[in-house]
Amino acid sequence: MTQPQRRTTERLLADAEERLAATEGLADRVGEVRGWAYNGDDTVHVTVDVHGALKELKLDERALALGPQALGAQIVDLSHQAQQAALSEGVNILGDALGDAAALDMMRSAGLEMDPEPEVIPYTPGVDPNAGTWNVID
Amino acid sequence: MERLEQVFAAAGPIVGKASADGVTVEVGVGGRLRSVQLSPQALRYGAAQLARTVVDTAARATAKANQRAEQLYAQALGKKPVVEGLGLSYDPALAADEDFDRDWTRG
Repeated sequence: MTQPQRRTTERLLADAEERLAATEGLADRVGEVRGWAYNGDDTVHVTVDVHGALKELKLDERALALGPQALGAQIVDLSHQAQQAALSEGVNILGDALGDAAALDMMRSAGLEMDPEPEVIPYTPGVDPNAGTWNVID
Repeated sequence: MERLEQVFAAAGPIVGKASADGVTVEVGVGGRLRSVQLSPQALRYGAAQLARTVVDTAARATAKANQRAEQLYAQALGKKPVVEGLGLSYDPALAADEDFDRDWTRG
Protein backbone atom coordinates (compact mmCIF):
# COMPACT_ATOMS: atom_id res chain seq x y z
CA MET A 1 0.00 0.00 0.00
CA THR A 2 1.77 3.16 -1.17
CA GLN A 3 -1.13 5.62 -1.43
CA PRO A 4 -1.91 7.60 1.73
CA GLN A 5 -5.18 6.30 3.09
CA ARG A 6 -8.17 8.61 3.31
CA ARG A 7 -9.32 9.07 6.81
CA THR A 8 -12.50 7.24 7.64
CA THR A 9 -15.63 9.01 8.87
CA GLU A 10 -14.99 7.48 12.30
CA ARG A 11 -11.48 8.90 12.30
CA LEU A 12 -12.75 12.37 11.28
CA LEU A 13 -15.40 12.29 14.00
CA ALA A 14 -12.87 11.18 16.57
CA ASP A 15 -10.55 14.03 15.54
CA ALA A 16 -13.37 16.55 15.79
CA GLU A 17 -14.32 15.30 19.23
CA GLU A 18 -10.72 15.49 20.37
CA ARG A 19 -10.53 19.11 19.29
CA LEU A 20 -13.86 19.90 20.94
CA ALA A 21 -12.62 18.38 24.19
CA ALA A 22 -9.52 20.56 23.94
CA THR A 23 -11.68 23.71 23.94
CA GLU A 24 -13.44 22.70 27.16
CA GLY A 25 -12.65 25.10 29.95
CA LEU A 26 -10.47 27.07 27.58
CA ALA A 27 -11.44 30.47 28.97
CA ASP A 28 -10.73 29.29 32.52
CA ARG A 29 -7.36 27.89 31.57
CA VAL A 30 -6.37 31.12 29.80
CA GLY A 31 -7.71 33.09 32.77
CA GLU A 32 -5.37 31.22 35.09
CA VAL A 33 -2.29 32.05 33.03
CA ARG A 34 0.20 34.33 34.79
CA GLY A 35 3.22 36.17 33.49
CA TRP A 36 5.85 37.70 35.68
CA ALA A 37 8.80 40.06 35.42
CA TYR A 38 11.34 41.49 37.82
CA ASN A 39 13.85 44.32 37.69
CA GLY A 40 17.63 44.06 37.48
CA ASP A 41 18.36 43.93 41.18
CA ASP A 42 15.28 41.79 41.87
CA THR A 43 13.72 44.30 44.27
CA VAL A 44 10.44 44.59 42.31
CA HIS A 45 8.64 41.42 41.23
CA VAL A 46 5.37 41.74 39.29
CA THR A 47 2.82 39.05 38.35
CA VAL A 48 -0.09 39.74 35.98
CA ASP A 49 -2.76 37.84 34.02
CA VAL A 50 -3.23 37.89 30.23
CA HIS A 51 -5.16 41.16 30.46
CA GLY A 52 -2.23 42.75 32.28
CA ALA A 53 -4.12 43.02 35.57
CA LEU A 54 -1.80 43.13 38.58
CA LYS A 55 -2.14 39.86 40.50
CA GLU A 56 0.87 39.98 42.78
CA LEU A 57 3.51 42.52 43.68
CA LYS A 58 6.58 41.81 45.73
CA LEU A 59 8.66 44.74 46.87
CA ASP A 60 11.95 44.53 48.68
CA GLU A 61 12.59 47.31 51.21
CA ARG A 62 15.49 48.38 48.97
CA ALA A 63 12.97 49.16 46.18
CA LEU A 64 11.72 52.12 48.23
CA ALA A 65 15.08 53.82 47.61
CA LEU A 66 14.01 54.32 43.97
CA GLY A 67 11.65 57.05 45.16
CA PRO A 68 7.90 57.26 44.60
CA GLN A 69 7.96 58.34 40.96
CA ALA A 70 10.53 55.87 39.65
CA LEU A 71 9.06 53.02 41.65
CA GLY A 72 5.57 53.64 40.26
CA ALA A 73 6.92 53.79 36.70
CA GLN A 74 8.93 50.60 37.24
CA ILE A 75 5.85 48.70 38.42
CA VAL A 76 4.00 49.77 35.26
CA ASP A 77 6.92 48.83 32.96
CA LEU A 78 7.41 45.44 34.57
CA SER A 79 3.69 44.70 34.42
CA HIS A 80 3.75 45.29 30.66
CA GLN A 81 6.72 42.95 30.25
CA ALA A 82 4.97 40.38 32.40
CA GLN A 83 1.83 40.68 30.27
CA GLN A 84 3.81 39.85 27.13
CA ALA A 85 4.95 36.65 28.83
CA ALA A 86 1.38 35.85 29.91
CA LEU A 87 0.06 36.48 26.40
CA SER A 88 2.66 34.16 24.89
CA GLU A 89 1.61 31.42 27.28
CA GLY A 90 -2.07 32.14 26.61
CA VAL A 91 -1.49 31.83 22.87
CA ASN A 92 0.18 28.45 23.43
CA ILE A 93 -2.91 27.21 25.24
CA LEU A 94 -5.21 28.56 22.54
CA GLY A 95 -2.98 27.02 19.89
CA ASP A 96 -3.36 23.57 21.45
CA ALA A 97 -7.13 23.93 21.28
CA LEU A 98 -7.75 25.94 18.15
CA GLY A 99 -4.81 24.98 16.00
CA ASP A 100 -1.53 26.73 15.44
CA ALA A 101 -2.78 28.77 12.47
CA ALA A 102 -5.38 30.41 14.73
CA ALA A 103 -2.73 30.95 17.38
CA LEU A 104 -0.42 32.60 14.86
CA ASP A 105 -3.22 34.99 13.87
CA MET A 106 -3.72 35.86 17.52
CA MET A 107 0.00 36.46 18.00
CA ARG A 108 -0.04 38.82 15.04
CA SER A 109 -3.02 40.76 16.37
CA ALA A 110 -1.50 40.89 19.85
CA GLY A 111 1.76 42.19 18.38
CA LEU A 112 3.76 39.30 19.78
CA GLU A 113 7.03 38.30 18.19
CA MET A 114 7.10 35.18 16.06
CA ASP A 115 9.53 32.40 16.73
CA PRO A 116 11.49 32.23 13.45
CA GLU A 117 12.04 28.51 13.92
CA PRO A 118 8.84 27.15 15.41
CA GLU A 119 8.59 23.49 16.19
CA VAL A 120 4.96 23.48 15.18
CA ILE A 121 3.30 23.00 11.83
CA PRO A 122 0.40 25.38 11.12
CA TYR A 123 -2.86 23.53 11.59
CA THR A 124 -5.44 23.80 8.85
CA PRO A 125 -8.76 22.16 9.69
CA GLY A 126 -9.32 19.05 7.62
CA VAL A 127 -5.76 18.85 6.33
CA ASP A 128 -3.38 16.37 7.86
CA PRO A 129 0.03 18.11 7.82
CA ASN A 130 1.71 14.72 8.08
CA ALA A 131 -0.21 13.14 5.22
CA GLY A 132 2.16 11.05 3.18
CA THR A 133 4.58 10.59 6.06
CA TRP A 134 2.42 8.08 7.89
CA ASN A 135 3.52 4.53 7.72
CA VAL A 136 0.13 2.92 7.48
CA ILE A 137 -0.05 -0.61 8.76
CA ASP A 138 -2.91 -2.55 7.24
CA MET B 1 -21.17 45.22 15.36
CA GLU B 2 -21.10 48.69 13.88
CA ARG B 3 -23.20 49.92 16.75
CA LEU B 4 -20.74 48.42 19.22
CA GLU B 5 -17.87 50.32 17.63
CA GLN B 6 -19.87 53.54 17.65
CA VAL B 7 -20.76 53.21 21.31
CA PHE B 8 -17.16 52.54 22.33
CA ALA B 9 -15.80 55.28 20.07
CA ALA B 10 -18.23 57.80 21.54
CA ALA B 11 -17.30 56.76 25.07
CA GLY B 12 -13.59 57.34 24.49
CA PRO B 13 -10.88 55.28 26.15
CA ILE B 14 -12.07 53.42 29.24
CA VAL B 15 -9.92 54.09 32.26
CA GLY B 16 -10.54 52.77 35.75
CA LYS B 17 -8.99 54.81 38.53
CA ALA B 18 -8.74 54.18 42.26
CA SER B 19 -6.78 55.67 45.14
CA ALA B 20 -5.87 54.68 48.68
CA ASP B 21 -3.17 55.64 51.18
CA GLY B 22 -1.19 57.77 48.75
CA VAL B 23 -1.42 55.24 45.92
CA THR B 24 -3.31 56.09 42.73
CA VAL B 25 -3.67 53.47 40.00
CA GLU B 26 -5.13 53.89 36.52
CA VAL B 27 -5.90 50.85 34.36
CA GLY B 28 -7.54 50.00 31.05
CA VAL B 29 -10.25 47.39 30.53
CA GLY B 30 -9.05 44.06 31.88
CA GLY B 31 -6.67 45.79 34.27
CA ARG B 32 -3.63 46.63 32.15
CA LEU B 33 -1.76 49.28 34.13
CA ARG B 34 -1.64 52.78 32.67
CA SER B 35 -0.06 54.49 35.63
CA VAL B 36 0.88 53.92 39.25
CA GLN B 37 1.37 57.15 41.16
CA LEU B 38 2.88 56.99 44.61
CA SER B 39 3.07 59.84 47.06
CA PRO B 40 6.13 60.10 49.31
CA GLN B 41 3.81 59.20 52.22
CA ALA B 42 2.87 55.90 50.53
CA LEU B 43 6.45 54.71 50.99
CA ARG B 44 6.47 55.33 54.75
CA TYR B 45 4.55 52.20 55.70
CA GLY B 46 7.17 49.80 54.37
CA ALA B 47 7.51 47.71 51.23
CA ALA B 48 5.08 44.91 52.12
CA GLN B 49 2.27 47.31 53.04
CA LEU B 50 2.88 49.37 49.89
CA ALA B 51 2.78 46.26 47.68
CA ARG B 52 -0.57 45.21 49.20
CA THR B 53 -2.04 48.68 48.73
CA VAL B 54 -0.95 48.82 45.07
CA VAL B 55 -2.47 45.39 44.31
CA ASP B 56 -5.75 46.21 46.13
CA THR B 57 -6.02 49.62 44.49
CA ALA B 58 -5.32 48.12 41.06
CA ALA B 59 -8.09 45.55 41.67
CA ARG B 60 -10.57 48.32 42.46
CA ALA B 61 -9.51 50.32 39.40
CA THR B 62 -9.88 47.17 37.25
CA ALA B 63 -13.37 46.49 38.59
CA LYS B 64 -14.39 50.03 37.66
CA ALA B 65 -12.98 49.74 34.14
CA ASN B 66 -14.66 46.36 33.60
CA GLN B 67 -17.93 47.69 34.98
CA ARG B 68 -17.75 50.57 32.53
CA ALA B 69 -17.03 48.14 29.67
CA GLU B 70 -20.03 46.06 30.71
CA GLN B 71 -22.25 49.14 30.70
CA LEU B 72 -21.11 50.01 27.19
CA TYR B 73 -21.61 46.45 25.93
CA ALA B 74 -25.08 46.45 27.45
CA GLN B 75 -25.83 49.80 25.87
CA ALA B 76 -24.69 48.60 22.45
CA LEU B 77 -26.12 45.08 22.51
CA GLY B 78 -29.14 45.63 24.71
CA LYS B 79 -28.22 42.90 27.18
CA LYS B 80 -25.65 42.01 29.79
CA PRO B 81 -23.35 39.28 28.65
CA VAL B 82 -20.23 39.09 26.73
CA VAL B 83 -18.07 40.60 29.40
CA GLU B 84 -17.83 37.45 31.50
CA GLY B 85 -17.13 35.39 28.42
CA LEU B 86 -14.16 37.66 27.79
CA GLY B 87 -12.78 37.02 31.26
CA LEU B 88 -13.58 40.58 32.27
CA SER B 89 -15.94 39.90 35.15
CA TYR B 90 -15.61 42.03 38.26
CA ASP B 91 -16.67 42.18 41.86
CA PRO B 92 -19.33 44.94 42.16
CA ALA B 93 -18.12 45.67 45.68
CA LEU B 94 -14.70 46.56 44.30
CA ALA B 95 -16.22 48.81 41.67
CA ALA B 96 -18.07 50.83 44.32
CA ASP B 97 -16.96 54.39 44.21
CA GLU B 98 -15.71 55.17 47.69
CA ASP B 99 -13.48 58.04 46.74
CA PHE B 100 -16.07 60.04 44.79
CA ASP B 101 -13.82 59.73 41.81
CA ARG B 102 -16.15 59.77 38.84
CA ASP B 103 -13.42 60.39 36.31
CA TRP B 104 -13.22 56.86 34.79
CA THR B 105 -13.53 57.83 31.18
CA ARG B 106 -10.72 60.31 31.04
CA GLY B 107 -8.54 59.91 27.95
